[in-house]
Amino acid sequence: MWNRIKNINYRHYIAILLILGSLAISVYCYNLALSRTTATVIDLADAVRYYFDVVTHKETPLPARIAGLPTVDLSPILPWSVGEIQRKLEAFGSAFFSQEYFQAYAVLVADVLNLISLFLLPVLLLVYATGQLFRMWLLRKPKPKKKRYKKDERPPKGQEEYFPVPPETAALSRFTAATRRPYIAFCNWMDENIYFVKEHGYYKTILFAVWLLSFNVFTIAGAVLAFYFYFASSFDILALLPFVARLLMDLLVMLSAATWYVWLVIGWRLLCKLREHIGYGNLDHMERRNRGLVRELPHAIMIEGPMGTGKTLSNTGIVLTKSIDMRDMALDDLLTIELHYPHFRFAALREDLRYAILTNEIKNVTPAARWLQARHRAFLIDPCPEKMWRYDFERYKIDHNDDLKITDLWSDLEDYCKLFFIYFQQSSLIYANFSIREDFTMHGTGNLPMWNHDLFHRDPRRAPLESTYAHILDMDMLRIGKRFVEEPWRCGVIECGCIDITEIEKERRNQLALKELKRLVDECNQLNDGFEDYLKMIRHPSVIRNHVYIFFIADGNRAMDWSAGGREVCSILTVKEVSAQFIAMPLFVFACMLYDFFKPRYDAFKKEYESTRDDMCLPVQIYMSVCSFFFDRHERCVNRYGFKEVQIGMQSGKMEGEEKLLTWYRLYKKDYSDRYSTDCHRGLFEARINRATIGVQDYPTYRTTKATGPELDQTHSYFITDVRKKFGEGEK
Amino acid sequence: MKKPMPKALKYTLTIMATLLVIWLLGYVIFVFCNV
Repeated sequence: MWNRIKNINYRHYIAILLILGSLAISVYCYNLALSRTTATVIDLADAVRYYFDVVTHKETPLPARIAGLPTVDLSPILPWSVGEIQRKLEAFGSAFFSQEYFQAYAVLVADVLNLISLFLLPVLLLVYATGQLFRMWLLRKPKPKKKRYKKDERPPKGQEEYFPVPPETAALSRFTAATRRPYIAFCNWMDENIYFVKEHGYYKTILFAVWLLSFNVFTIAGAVLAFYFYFASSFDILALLPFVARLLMDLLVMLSAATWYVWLVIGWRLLCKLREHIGYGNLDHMERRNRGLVRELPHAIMIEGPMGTGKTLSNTGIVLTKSIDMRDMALDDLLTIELHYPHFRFAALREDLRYAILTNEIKNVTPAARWLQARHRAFLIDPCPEKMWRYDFERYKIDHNDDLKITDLWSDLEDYCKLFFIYFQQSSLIYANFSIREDFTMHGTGNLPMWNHDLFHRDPRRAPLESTYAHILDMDMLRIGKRFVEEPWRCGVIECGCIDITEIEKERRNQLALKELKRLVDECNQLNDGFEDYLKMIRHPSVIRNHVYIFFIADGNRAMDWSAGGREVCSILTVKEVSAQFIAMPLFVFACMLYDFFKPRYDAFKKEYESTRDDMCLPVQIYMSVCSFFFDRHERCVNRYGFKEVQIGMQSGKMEGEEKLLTWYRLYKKDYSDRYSTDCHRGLFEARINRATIGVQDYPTYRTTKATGPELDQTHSYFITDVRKKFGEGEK
Repeated sequence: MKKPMPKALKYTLTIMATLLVIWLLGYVIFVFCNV
């Protein structure tokens, strides 16, 4: 017995003591809240009684207590009696708009401002003067410090070595050394406590409930519920005012539970949570608008525009949204099929499908249909419920009539298997010729798995665990004519998904650039690979239940540099205008004001400090740490909630007809989270750069503003060479 | 296309709106206490 007690984690005792202590505090310090809660429980029971009296058509039901003001004595916390409060509420309306009160308030405000200015203005002047003097002292040029040598190692006079003071001052390094170990030990102990609380959630729940009771929260919730029952049965509009007064009184009881600075902290935290909630709501709304736009886009598009307009950025954003939309579309179709056959055991079918996909028995969409067809054949040989996942086909329906056609259960199950493969496959749905990062995770408890497509709550520190990358797009998979490498086992892989090609006009070229190539040759080229023919038929293998599960997107500098055979299959999107930066979180203007005020001043001070002094001192180190903390928070807020509106023009690939204007939202957290590399073709230039034998500082420059003949010759320009030829060899 | 307000105007309006809200809150409390 004693051993068992000894082996109990001491944190259990701490938790029980905390709960008992909280209960004692509730009884001795918050007895008003307890009496209000007791009264509200009686009011709630009375309101339910009134509700059932009305429902059972009792002739004269007794009036409900919730319709009037509370009877508990609130004088310990309220400076007025309940009757006085009622009188004030009635007289408030006329007093608010009276000239007498307005003038009295103006006099009060003037007195307060006068009092503040008497003390504040001299203090401000003193703080400013002290700050300027301190700044001048910090920016003084320090005397050079000499290195101390041992007696027999001293160098000759005039050759002593000077060195700067190490970055950390001695005091700061001693302080951090002394506090680091206890601080880490304390942090580890707190982590263990937090883990203990998470494992034993009932302690947290009980403690939270006791403090909610002390803070009068249950009273307010009970009063609202009681009034809900009363109002549903009586529709007594006049009872609203006493109810609001009751809520205000209970709110005052809640506010009296803690001092004003505790409420300041709690109120600030609640306000921040509310702002974040609204910010995330705005971001989700804009992403849904993006998804609506992507659903309206045709299945093959090209984004064109000069460099720097954000073609690849928009391309990546669109393809990410489309891959999410494709999985959601597949899930919607799965649920629609399940609705057609409500008695079929789809959970058993999903379990078999999941096993087949994970063991690689089903590798793609068409093999999923073949897998189901094999089971259909087995059923036809021996029709029994066991061959149909225990579906009682004699009792329940085996076809569906949607008023357009009759579809057989087995053909619907075939579609179900294809859709489930698209939905369940763990790898990316994107095939691209550059790397695109996704961070979508699948979670489930063994039943229908759900994808977490959240784009805005991601922590970049978890990116290595959650990231998947787009498939490498082998262009041979899109060629139905000649190929680079004849490997038939790789060519049929893309059935569904998003195909993304960047710089497509450099890949495919136009008729003018290809005029020297021949179609009837052995080697593969743009004329005989059948790429454009594949693009024209791209939808055919990818239609399931009248929804197209393939999407082609490309980007390039000039649409006319791609031959008409491919270009006219696509719709051309052009980035017309990009708006300035906005922030989705409300009330961010205050943080922007502070940032715009302090950042330039910090930068100016830092530049002057670094150019004047070559050492670091404690005040500046503390100043930099504080500024770094706030500027980092500001930067993280902008990166999480920032967005821009992009106006995109869409017209047909024939480059004629009216241009339709669309609005796309470029969301920073989604589009700039290390999704792709804008210099994705840098590797092509590295070998060339490595061959250079001189650096940029050794590269020749002009002597004056007028270039000489030899300097012009160094440009190796066609124009200069032509002119030299026409002038002969005279001008040098 | 949404155009952002010039920063100086935005910050001035924000400060004025904040002061107005504080003034209004104070007026409501003043009237309620003295009525």
